[in-house]
Amino acid sequence: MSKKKNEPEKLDWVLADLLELPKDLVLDLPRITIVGQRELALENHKGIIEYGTEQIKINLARGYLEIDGEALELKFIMQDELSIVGKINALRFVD
Amino acid sequence: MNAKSWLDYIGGMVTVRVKGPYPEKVINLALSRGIYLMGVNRRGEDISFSLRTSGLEPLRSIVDNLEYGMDVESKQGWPFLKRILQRRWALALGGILFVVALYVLSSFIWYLGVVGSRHVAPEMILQSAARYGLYDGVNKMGLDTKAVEDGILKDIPRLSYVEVDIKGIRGTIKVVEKILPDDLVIKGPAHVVARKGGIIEDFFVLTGEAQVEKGQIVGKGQILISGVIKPPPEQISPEPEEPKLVKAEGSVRARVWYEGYGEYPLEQEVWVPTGRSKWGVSLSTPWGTFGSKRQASGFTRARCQKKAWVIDSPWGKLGFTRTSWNEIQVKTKHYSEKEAVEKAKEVALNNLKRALKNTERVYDTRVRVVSAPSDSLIRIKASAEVLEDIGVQQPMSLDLTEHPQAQDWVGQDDSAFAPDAARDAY
Repeated sequence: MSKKKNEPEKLDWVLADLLELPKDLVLDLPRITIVGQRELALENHKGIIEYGTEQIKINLARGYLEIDGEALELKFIMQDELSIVGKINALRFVD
Repeated sequence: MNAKSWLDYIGGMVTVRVKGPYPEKVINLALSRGIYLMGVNRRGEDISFSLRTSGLEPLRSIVDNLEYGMDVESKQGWPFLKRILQRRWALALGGILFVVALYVLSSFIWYLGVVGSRHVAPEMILQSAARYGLYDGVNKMGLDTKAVEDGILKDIPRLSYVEVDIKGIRGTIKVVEKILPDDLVIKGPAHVVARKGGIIEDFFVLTGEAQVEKGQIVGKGQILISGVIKPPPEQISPEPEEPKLVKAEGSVRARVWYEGYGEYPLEQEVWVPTGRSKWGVSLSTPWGTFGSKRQASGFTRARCQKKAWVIDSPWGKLGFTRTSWNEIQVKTKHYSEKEAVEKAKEVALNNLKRALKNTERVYDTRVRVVSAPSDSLIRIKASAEVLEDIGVQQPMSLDLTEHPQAQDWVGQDDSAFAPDAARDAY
């Protein structure tokens, strides 16, 4: 089942590669920018699943992103963009 | 503050606290409605964040639908400040008036000073500047500083450079004076004459012929070193040699006398304060002076002191003046003869000291009482015998009939005598 589900995604990836299109737009993937260990900017998110000072879970088009750290804070959040400040220790993508 | 912060300030910002079992839900629903959230903080079970005032009502409906609680913690920005100012319109008006007054008053020059003048009186420069439009209280908007600089330079030839520097409400006129020779340089023949009378102590001649001897008494204006060098009498030349005219130079030191006079009364009337005083404050405005005009009534005589805090506004004088009157009364103070002599001596010696400032050496100082016993004051004369150079160069008279031999000599040796230069020296 999952193999079948991944097939169109694989095709999209190949097509995007072939046509040199930005994959985050074509495949609806998140774009993450990290400044040192202190700031993280994320584009193309799908909302907040869990928000705490030591862990933040952010919903993505496929799965979610888990951010572990200390004194984490959402600096701002907009419809498809957010920024997190604090001490970032780990990022984990969960399907 | 960046542009976004300015927009937030103009639009107004509120900080809210959302209480509920799953506050992340509120964030997601707010995002889906396009509400922009800032500074999201977790506070225990609750979440607080800031948003624009325009997003407050949609957020409230979300929270109500979820049956969560919401408190507005703080409000910042212009809409809230506007509401305060609408209630306190006098405060807003005062603020606007203050800004306008600050702007209007800062467009005038309130303090004007002169820098760099040494020989030319600053008042003279300020008067000249006023003639060309620069004075205390002038509006700097229409001021032509170039015209003021040129005008001052034209008015005062002693100045070589003028710069008008205006910074805020302060104006500075920077000037540089021309350097002129302090004395006229004597170019032609000259004698060395006595500046004052005295007894010659010693002398030496660099140029010219000495006319005095050691121990000789000389009077003021007497020739000490002559600029006319006569030919030696024992010359055996067939034709007599004419005298030469030179600029005499040398030093002639003589004993001279200086005097200082001092007097002091045996009885003196002095004004002493009784301790009674009165004071009043008056307000000076361009339309008149108001307030205390109370005079020192009841006082036989009073000493008046005024302390003013007045500024020159464009409309006239503006400020306060505090006037105080201290009653005084006359008392006669008696001095013994010894006290009066001491005081008079002190005055006489001080006067003598002032006269002795350029002398080389003081030989002797004497003090004597010159008043009669019947006088009501003591008179003292202090004199000092000092040694000093009394010689001073004086251009020679151009009356050539005095030296007929020199008539032919003039024009033969220009280096020794230049008639035009000598005339200039006069």
